[in-house]
Amino acid sequence: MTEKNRDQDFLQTSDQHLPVSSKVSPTPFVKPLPDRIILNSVWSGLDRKAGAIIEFTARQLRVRASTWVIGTVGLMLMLLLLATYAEAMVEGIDPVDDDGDSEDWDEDGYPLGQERKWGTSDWNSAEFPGSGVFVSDEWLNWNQADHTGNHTYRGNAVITSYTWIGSPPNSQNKGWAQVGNFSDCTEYEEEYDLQIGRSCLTSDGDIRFNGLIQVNGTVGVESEKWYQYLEWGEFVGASDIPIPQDPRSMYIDEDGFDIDVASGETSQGFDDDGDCIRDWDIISSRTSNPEFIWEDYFMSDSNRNGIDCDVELVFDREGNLISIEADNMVDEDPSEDEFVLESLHRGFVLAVGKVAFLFLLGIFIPLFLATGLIRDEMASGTMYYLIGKPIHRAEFFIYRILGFMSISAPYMVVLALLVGLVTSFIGPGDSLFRFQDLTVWLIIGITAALVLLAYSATFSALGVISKKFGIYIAMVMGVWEFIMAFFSLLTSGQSKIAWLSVSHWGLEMVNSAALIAWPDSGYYDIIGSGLFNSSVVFSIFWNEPVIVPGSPIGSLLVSAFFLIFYIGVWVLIGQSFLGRREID
Amino acid sequence: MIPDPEQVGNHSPASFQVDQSVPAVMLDHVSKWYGQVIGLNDVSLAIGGGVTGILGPNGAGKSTLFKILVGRLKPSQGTVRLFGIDPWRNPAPYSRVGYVSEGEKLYDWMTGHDFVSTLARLYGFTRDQASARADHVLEFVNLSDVAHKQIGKYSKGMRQRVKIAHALVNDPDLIILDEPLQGCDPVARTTIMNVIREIGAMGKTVIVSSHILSEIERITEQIVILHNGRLLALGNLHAIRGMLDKHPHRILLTTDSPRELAARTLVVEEVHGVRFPLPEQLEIQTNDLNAVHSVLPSLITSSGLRVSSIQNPDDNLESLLAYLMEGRA
Repeated sequence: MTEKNRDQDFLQTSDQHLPVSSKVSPTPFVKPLPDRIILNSVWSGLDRKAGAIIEFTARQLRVRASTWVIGTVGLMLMLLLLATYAEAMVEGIDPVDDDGDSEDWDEDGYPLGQERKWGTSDWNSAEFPGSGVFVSDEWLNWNQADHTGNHTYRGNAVITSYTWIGSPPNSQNKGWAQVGNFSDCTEYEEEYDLQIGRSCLTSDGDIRFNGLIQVNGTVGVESEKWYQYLEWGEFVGASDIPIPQDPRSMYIDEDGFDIDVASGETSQGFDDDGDCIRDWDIISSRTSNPEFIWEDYFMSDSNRNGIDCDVELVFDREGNLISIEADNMVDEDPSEDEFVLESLHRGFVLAVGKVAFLFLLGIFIPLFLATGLIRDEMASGTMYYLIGKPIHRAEFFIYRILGFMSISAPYMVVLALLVGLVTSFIGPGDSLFRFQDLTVWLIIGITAALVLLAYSATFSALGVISKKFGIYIAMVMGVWEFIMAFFSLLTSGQSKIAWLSVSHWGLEMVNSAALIAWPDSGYYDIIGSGLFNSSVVFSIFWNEPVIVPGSPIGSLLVSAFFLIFYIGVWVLIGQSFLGRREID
Repeated sequence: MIPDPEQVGNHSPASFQVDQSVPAVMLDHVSKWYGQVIGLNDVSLAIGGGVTGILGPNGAGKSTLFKILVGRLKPSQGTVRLFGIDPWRNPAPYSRVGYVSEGEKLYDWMTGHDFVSTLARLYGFTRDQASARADHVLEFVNLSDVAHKQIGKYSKGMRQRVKIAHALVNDPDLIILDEPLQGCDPVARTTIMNVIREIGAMGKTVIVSSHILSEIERITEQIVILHNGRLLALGNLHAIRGMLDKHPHRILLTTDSPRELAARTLVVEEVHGVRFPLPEQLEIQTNDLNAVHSVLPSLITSSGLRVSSIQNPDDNLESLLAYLMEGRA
């Protein structure tokens, strides 16, 4: 351009519209350097651009204080959980008397389990094994005043006439009223009550008694004294030799599970301690009416399957265990070390996998770190450094998320490995290392990664959709996911509303993993929630996969595909909005 | 696509043939509105080769123009082409563009070398190539000695230079610099101006914006003037200077004896008149600024009067704009 031309150009203002070409300087001569790379299209050298942005994003996250705060909080949470777990495992579980039969409620020195076997009451200190028991045949009706006959009576009543009176010799039962050398009743005793085992002569010459007594005569109650009663029957089971008292510890963990789900047998279980079967021969020999002893005589077949003292296993058509119904007092007091510890261990693995990895870390790490992946760059004005390059914005969106994943996914994997290794080493079992748990941890890791990816894609896209409100919408979504996660957990995945959340599908994957690694999960779940109330941890944190019933692998794959689909949709949404977003 | 984190492999560069007939930058009736506010108003422009200064006061539309050029904003109307390609739809031309925005924000946690080499990899360079290129451009902008210091510890001038280095790392054909001298001290300004001139001398197309006429004057003669979003004029700065010189100019002197000095200056033929805006000020009015300036020093010396300052209030962008606006009216 000559000076003259320039002068002329200067005089031309925009009001004088000129063809653009007339103002164009001579086309620049560009001499490319030998090693210069000019990309044919933005879709060239993707690997290098991806590597650069992923690395850049990872470094950017590493220098942010919030990354370290969240990472430290997550680590501390895991260490705290591990410490609690290790304490439980190392100290073991104190034996628990699940059926309560080690108690001695009447304080007669015989625990409930022993009294139960002997058919004596643990609520009556006068009665105990060997003391014999009164078995009622008949009682005085409300319109009757007295009864005549030769019986063993029990009551708080009056003997108006008798030909013979007595009590069995050497009976240890403290319920027998004293006979012979009757003293006069006090005014109070005549008017009101007597102590158990006491008898006395009234001013009318009758004999008042409270307790057991053998009489051949007429016995009755005074109509105006409401507290008096009378029944007659037999006294059976008394032993001349005192029965030794069993130690209470004998009735703790004395009736473990004798069930083998894999056998497929429907009637299983064994009454190890004999408190269901009891010794009916002994009891029958003591009374002609054994059905009237104090326990419900139906207890031996309370599951009504026609088999006494068994455990009935109910399977569906596919052979899955769906229910366990035990007769009373069968397999009711297992060893805590055998069942509870295993149940606790599995419950811990699933609780940590679901609550700590999926709910807490899975939601909060992306919420705090991924929402600003794009939004913060736009807000701070540094975005153009990254996208003012031959790189498509759609690419950029993906690379940023991958950069986030390059920090968060290894963090999750390391945490999962840490918890997985510790629990597999110190968990219950005969082997040194619980290899079967690795499957669960592996799938927990994969699920955590998918959930992280799903949330990071969602929250990043929300940050792009609205620079101002994106974070708030993300927070609302985070809360929704958190609530749905617990909702899905509490409804065992049955709630269809919870299906509208990422967390439900993550939980489904973990449930499937548990069933793959521990095929007897159903057994632990049913026992835990149904028969054995002291161990429900596993039942709370596990439920049968519901997406493809009966097929844990099917449920796992469907859930994983759903999450991948969900991630794809949000990535497309984020890319679309970023592609159209103006960057001031 | 599998990310290549090592990035040490050999890349076979795909050559992008420069279309000689296409200008680096072309805008055809481009307008941009921000709601009710107009940022750019029907601008048609083509730029290619050498350094072009974009002049305009704050709010004239310089940054809007640049943001449209680099695809940060979508024009509300009109056509934009970078090397013949619409940058909003296709970021491919950015392989040939270097852009420095007016914002000061940088990644303070990175070193200068990290910053330049990391961003260089977004052009598809391998890690080694990017590092070598970063060394090269940092040396070019005189930052080699602080290349491995964190950007957060850089002075303002260093920060501007590292931004320029990042814009040069891909050996671009078009370099867009938005207010590169803003906030820099005189030494940094001189360094950056030298850098820009050198780039221009290398045959690159450089577009540099400023709202200070004297800055642009030291860099280039080719200017585009924007005002209120409109293209006011474009052409050679010398020519505009000449036009201004033929227009009444003021020279403002601060002296203890303004009236005595006025009497002496009025004998100069080119002086049309004098005013005393303040008791200690003398305003000389002339149509030939250069002629008056050539005699003024000897005149002051011979008078023996004390003059503490000499200013040219009309030698600025505002005056230029006022003149141009007058001309349009």
